[in-house]
Amino acid sequence: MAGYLARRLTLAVPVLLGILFVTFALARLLPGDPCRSALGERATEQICEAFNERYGLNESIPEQFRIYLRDVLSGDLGESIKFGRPVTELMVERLPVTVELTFFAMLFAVLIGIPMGLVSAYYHNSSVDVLTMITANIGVSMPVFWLGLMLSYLFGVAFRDTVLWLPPSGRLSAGISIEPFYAAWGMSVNPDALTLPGFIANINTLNALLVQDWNGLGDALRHMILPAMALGTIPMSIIARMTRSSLLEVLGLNYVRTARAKGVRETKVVLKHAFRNALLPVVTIIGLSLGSLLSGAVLTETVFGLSGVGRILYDSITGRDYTVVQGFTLIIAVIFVFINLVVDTLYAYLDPRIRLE
Amino acid sequence: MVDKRNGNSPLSEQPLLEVRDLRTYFFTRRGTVKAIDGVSFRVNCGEIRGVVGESGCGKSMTAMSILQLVDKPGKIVSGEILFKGEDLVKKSRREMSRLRGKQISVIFQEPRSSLNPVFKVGNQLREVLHIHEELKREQEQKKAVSQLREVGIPDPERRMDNYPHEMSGGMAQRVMIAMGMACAPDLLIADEPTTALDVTIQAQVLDLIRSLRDDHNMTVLLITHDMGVVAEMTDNVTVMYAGTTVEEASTEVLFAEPLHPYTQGLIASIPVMGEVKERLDVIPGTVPNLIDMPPGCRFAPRCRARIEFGLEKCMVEEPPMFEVKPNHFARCWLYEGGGDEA
Ligand SMILES: Nc1ncnc2c1ncn2[C@@H]1O[C@H](COP(=O)(O)OP(=O)(O)OP(=O)(O)O)[C@@H](O)[C@H]1O
Ligand SMILES: [Mg+2]
Repeated sequence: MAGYLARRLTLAVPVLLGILFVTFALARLLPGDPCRSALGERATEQICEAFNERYGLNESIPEQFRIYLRDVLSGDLGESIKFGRPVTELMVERLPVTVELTFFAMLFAVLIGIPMGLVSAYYHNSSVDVLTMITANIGVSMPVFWLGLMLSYLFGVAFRDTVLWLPPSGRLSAGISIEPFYAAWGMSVNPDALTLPGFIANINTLNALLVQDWNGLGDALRHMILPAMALGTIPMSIIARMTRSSLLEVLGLNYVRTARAKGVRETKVVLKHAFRNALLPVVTIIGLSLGSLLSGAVLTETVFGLSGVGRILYDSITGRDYTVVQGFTLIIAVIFVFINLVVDTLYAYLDPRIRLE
Repeated sequence: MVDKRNGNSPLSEQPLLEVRDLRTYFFTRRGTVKAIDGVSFRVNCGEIRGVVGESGCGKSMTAMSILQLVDKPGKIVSGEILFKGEDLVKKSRREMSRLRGKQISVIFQEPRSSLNPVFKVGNQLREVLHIHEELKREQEQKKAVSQLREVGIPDPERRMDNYPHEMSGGMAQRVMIAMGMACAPDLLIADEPTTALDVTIQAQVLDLIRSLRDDHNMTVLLITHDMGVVAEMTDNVTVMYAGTTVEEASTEVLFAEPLHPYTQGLIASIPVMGEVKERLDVIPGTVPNLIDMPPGCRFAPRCRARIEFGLEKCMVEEPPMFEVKPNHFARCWLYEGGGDEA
């Protein structure tokens, strides 16, 4: 197992290098002049000259790449042209929002999707199965922004003044703030630099948990429900369908027959002998869905007024703020590599045959 | 004359298992597949009973029906399966799972795919003990190891920690046998236990099954399509064709004097060592479609005897089992009058 993981980690290195190269190249390939789009059409030659000098755009491309590599490796992702702030600072601010949203959307998708698939397969061809699969098929074809709008209208507007009311936008209610855990624990942390504590403190729910601010936690969670549901519905439906079909296939295999022949009760046959094997393709789907969640996050963040990665990426691409595009693309890619690593690990844990390779 | 077996055997000889006129159908979109359509046989305590027939004749389905493990869209539509005098068809799911693995166990054709790939074989073996016997953890482990040793697995302590993919087919089949034997069942059903194995391993596994039978006075229902295995292993044989039993006799008698034209064909098709045949004497034609069964004898379209003896009934009416000689039954119109003309 350890050897397998070491190999996977080593394989990740060239992938990361490739990502560095691609993000760098992509930013240079964006059409349009960065100076003019940042400073406006009327910027003079002189001003642009100074601008290019400042952002290192006068160097040759290989030289730019060398500098880029050096900077990235030392944790410097450059400065946003538009905001005039370090990209790392923007990351500490924005990334936690998206990470939190994605996490809860995935949690929703897994916690609802897998049981749906299980029940559906267990009661194969019954009315429960049909109903579950109709739900899943509707869920898959639901546009994220539309679902988001409907949910925020339903729970935020239609149910106003009832117990079912849920906040339709933002991360915390007005007047509620949660003390950063590092402050509560008496650590001295520069809140603006790219540091793990700063990052963690910006994940409201986690931070609230750390400082045991139950009121804050409740409020943060309530704000999370609608966006997570909107974003999680498609992966939930995909996971439900995948769990069902995978389980049905496994239930027809020889070793399941053996389990039954041994006298294992049917519920245990499904939950122990079949489920673990059936999970393999589901884990793959979960990993892949995390990718599409990110594109969904742009829409969700817009609908629910959350300023996360999606929002800033969209703004930066349209505004040619390419240090930001570069930096966020890089971090997203790195997150992907990391997710893949987790998926591979999970795979190896679930299936001993894979550990061998 | 017709099927007198029920009733005329004294009670003291109650068989361990008796299947009476079993019918298991699959209700598919294309029609009803009559996978088993009138199977009767009995298995006496301590014997090795062979069930033999071509691929698709319903041997495995018979085994699955006995265990009440027929998957949808299949269903046992009629018949009785008396095990120690109790009808398994009438048992509840819970009663059956208490019985499976404890009193009746089964080993399958594909040993490697019959073991769960994600669990250690030791844990899979211990699971049987865990379900059916109340043992302490260490006892369970100890017993599992001794089971592996008994089926001839070298270094059993280490093998307990193997995953199925780390074992050869022969080893995996030994694990399956150890699992089947763990709770000392009364009946072991072996469904083509050696078909997927190398020839040398085949012989070893068969030897193992026989010696376990001898040591534990167990009863074995050995399913195979290989007449060689039948000759070597079994005491009595049931021959199946297209979902029915067509002949039943002691092994010796069956080979010396096969009655049913199908059995005669099967025996003639055994390749004899050292003898070069002009052509392999296979039976011409194919098994009929199990959805649209011909009205008469299922074997009639392929039967040479029917033409030779000019029998006309065969295509119209299905023959019953005739007791041609004491304890020798055949489902063939040739023996309607008692079998003297054969
Ligand atoms: N799920 C199913 N749906 C329809 N028909 C089925 C199904 N399962 C089995 N059958 C039918 O049952 C018949 C008997 O199958 P069975 O597996 O018992 O044959 P067998 O004698 O064990 O053959 P083999 O030597 O190939 O193992 C087959 O001919 C097949 O047509
Ligand atoms: Mg079979």
